[in-house]
Amino acid sequence: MARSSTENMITLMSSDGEEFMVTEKVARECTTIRNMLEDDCVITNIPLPNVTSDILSMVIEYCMEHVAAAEKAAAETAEKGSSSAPAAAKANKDLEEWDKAFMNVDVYTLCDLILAANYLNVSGLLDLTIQTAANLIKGKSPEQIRKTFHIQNDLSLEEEEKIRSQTPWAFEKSE
Amino acid sequence: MKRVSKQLKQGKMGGASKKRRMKGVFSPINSLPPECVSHIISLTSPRDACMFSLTSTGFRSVADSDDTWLHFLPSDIDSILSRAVDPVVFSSKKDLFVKLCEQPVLIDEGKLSFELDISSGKKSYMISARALDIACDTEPRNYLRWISLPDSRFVDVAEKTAMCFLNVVGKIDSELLSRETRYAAYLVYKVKETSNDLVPPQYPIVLCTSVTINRHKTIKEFACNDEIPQEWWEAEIGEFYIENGEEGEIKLMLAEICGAFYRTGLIIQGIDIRPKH
Repeated sequence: MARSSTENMITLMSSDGEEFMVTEKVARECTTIRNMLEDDCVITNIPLPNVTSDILSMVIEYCMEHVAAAEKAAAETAEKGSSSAPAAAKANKDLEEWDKAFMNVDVYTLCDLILAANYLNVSGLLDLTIQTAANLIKGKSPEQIRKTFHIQNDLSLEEEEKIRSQTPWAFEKSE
Repeated sequence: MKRVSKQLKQGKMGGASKKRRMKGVFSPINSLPPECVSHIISLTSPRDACMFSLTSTGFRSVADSDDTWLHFLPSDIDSILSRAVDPVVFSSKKDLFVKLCEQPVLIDEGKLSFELDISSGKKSYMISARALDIACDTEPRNYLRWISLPDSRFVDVAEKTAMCFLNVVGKIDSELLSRETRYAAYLVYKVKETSNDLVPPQYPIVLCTSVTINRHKTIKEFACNDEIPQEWWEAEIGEFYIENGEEGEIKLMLAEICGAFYRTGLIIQGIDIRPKH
């Protein structure tokens, strides 16, 4: 696209010193960066000391995909004069599938992504990662949750017994 | 742009996270701020939150926090509690949730009882017999008397004193119910121990019920168990689904066509409306 060459480019710098050049549109997907740009419109270089390069590249990948999907939908609407419902539904489903594949990561990467999405304030990515983490907890026993998230159990048997007795219904086998 | 795409290819492999994985001591959740952990747990279920509270001391306090349990309580909980006959005393949001699951709370001058479904946190109600329209086809009056029973949640229950067919109508505002939820309504009844009317046991109870929601009426006719027990028992009136943005009144009707409800000594506690699993 010829248009992208005229777009403003922003350089994002990760905690380990990697530089990522992205279009302003992609950078604006992060509300934290959007606010910085609105405060100071000539800023072109943004250091992000809380985000490592591998996580930052994933956040950018997510933002690029979602910006591209939104642009495609807008272009189709402009072309046909109105949006076609089946096409929009398919595009949504494709993006959902993409999100699902994107979430095929280990729990360490998942938690790093939650932290980055929270810090950069990328609401779509935060919702996606938080929901993915919640799905990893659903229907599991305490032992299975510990295993999934590498949690060290520091509760004594007495404490465990006390917690169980407070809400016995939660620990009964569901019918 | 070239630079980014090159970086992106490496992205999924992860460098820094691999390093931490080697240590293997710290749970990755430990790095998240409490509000993120509480947000994650709030997207599970009350049961999952209790399971999570049993994983470690640190996660127990987040799993039990008010921030987490506020999400499991209905959004209109303050308004419901303000209508309680006796004030509900609780020490935390989790404590409130557990109390509302274990013991129904009387609201609206005792005409309704309110409780929460333990597994989903959805709202359930029972309309008391006092708030029902109970009619009798043959006897114009004096077919009901009001008695107190220790095993009823309401101050009094209705006892049928005339031989007649039963016709019960209950109404509830759909806005009181949880959204996007399938509900079922049941007549809660039993028979007085001393009831000695002669009703041949071979007659099954045949009921006609209807649920009217949003001007859409579903009618069914069916036979139910022909023994009326001396413990509280339920006859299903019907099912209905509460959409997002559902408003208006739901009308629940039960009429007896044939059978043992005809006799005297039938006791009605109310109509229970709860999520259908």
